[in-house]
Amino acid sequence: MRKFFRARKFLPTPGAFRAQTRAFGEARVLVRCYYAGLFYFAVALLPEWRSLLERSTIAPLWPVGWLSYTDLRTGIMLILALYLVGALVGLVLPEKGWARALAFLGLFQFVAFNNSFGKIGHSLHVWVLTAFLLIFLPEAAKLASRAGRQRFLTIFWGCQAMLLLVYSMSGLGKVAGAIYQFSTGQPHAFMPGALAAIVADRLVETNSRSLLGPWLIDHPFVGWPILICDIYLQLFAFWVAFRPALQKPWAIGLIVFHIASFLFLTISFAQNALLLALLLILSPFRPSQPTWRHTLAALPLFGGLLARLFGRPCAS
Amino acid sequence: MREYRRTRRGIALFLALYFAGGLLTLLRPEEEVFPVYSWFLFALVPGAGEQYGLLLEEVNGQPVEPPRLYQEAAGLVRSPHSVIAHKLIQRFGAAVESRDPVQSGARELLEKNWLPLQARYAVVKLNADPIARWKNGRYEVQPLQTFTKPAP
Repeated sequence: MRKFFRARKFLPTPGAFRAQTRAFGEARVLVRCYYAGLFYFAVALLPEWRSLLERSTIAPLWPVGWLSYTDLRTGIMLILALYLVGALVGLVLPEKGWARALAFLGLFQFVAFNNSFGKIGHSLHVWVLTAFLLIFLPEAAKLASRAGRQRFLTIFWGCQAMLLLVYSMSGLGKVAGAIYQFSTGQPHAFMPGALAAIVADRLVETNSRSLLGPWLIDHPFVGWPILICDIYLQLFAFWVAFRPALQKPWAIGLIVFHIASFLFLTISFAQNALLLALLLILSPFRPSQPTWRHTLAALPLFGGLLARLFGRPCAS
Repeated sequence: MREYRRTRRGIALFLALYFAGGLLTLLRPEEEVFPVYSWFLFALVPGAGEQYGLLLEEVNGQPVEPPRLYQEAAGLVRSPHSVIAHKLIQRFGAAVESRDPVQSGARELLEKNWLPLQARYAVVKLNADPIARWKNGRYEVQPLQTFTKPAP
């Protein structure tokens, strides 16, 4: 799998042991920051506890199916308490497997509950999936060995890959949708007015106003390169898990995409933006001395061509 | 070292299963088995077509003249711009049109969580091009069925 996704030319890693020690130290701090972020989400929810507890009608998703067999208010209280306590324990004791499992369980239950009202939102899905992966970090006693540290880094990489995979799936959906619509003679994502139509549809269906959406609808050609860049960024996101030189610029691109989504569509994925910052902008796998040539050469689809145009990156 | 190799294989398997499972959820009507999802967000470009709407005719005993769409009923409903309410209206509209009893839970969720204490409303089908509707506000309305949420 790694051979397929990685760049043909990638940065050499002189001093692999030294690089591993540096990456492990950084990844450990980032895992702590991850649980601090999770704790922030749980605490920021406190003002909404009262309204959440007052909910009387629910269509429970399977993880919270047990709510149908308990007093609803008591069940909701249990979920909210588990979410808060789990996040706190994860923050205080991130080196303990049981604490990470509790943090995952609380988040999993809360997100399932919060999406049990007729529509599933996706802003916390990747947090749920990565919190699950982080349960399997090795215990502190095993981190003294190189193998234990490498296992820690592999699971951290798994979180990066999970985050990037969902963007690739989203990009795949857009390409598949475009092929389908093109083949049936409908307007499709590669046409100039596609983003304007998406924005108009979103704004009229909820009668909302966004900051830049109305302007984009009046200037549909502006949306053309934006949507094509977005599809490229999303579709090839998973490749970036195997190309460390691209992790930082790609994450910045995806965060800009989330900001644009809010300005055009009023859709905010702030939680994903935080995860992109933590896992990729601050990636422990970033090359120590990246050059713009290395970055260009690692680009999926165009890397080879750009490397020929601007000269192959040097090996040192 | 064995544990490290097992971890690598486990992560590859997890990612592969999530990818395959996510695509398989497209075969389900709700297109998701939480937290497994296809992530096909905005996969299709909307063109001229039909959507469902909820036209409020009476709220808390007072007639609404002229009747207003849910998303245009600021002051009558709590969250007129809610995406959740919009999705529920689409599910409810589809259930009304196809007389599908499985989807009828959408009505209960809508009435208890999103509509005023008492309301009479029509589920309608709206036909419009999104850009034209945005620019001139015009759409065709086809009534499907009228419902009443009784006062508690």
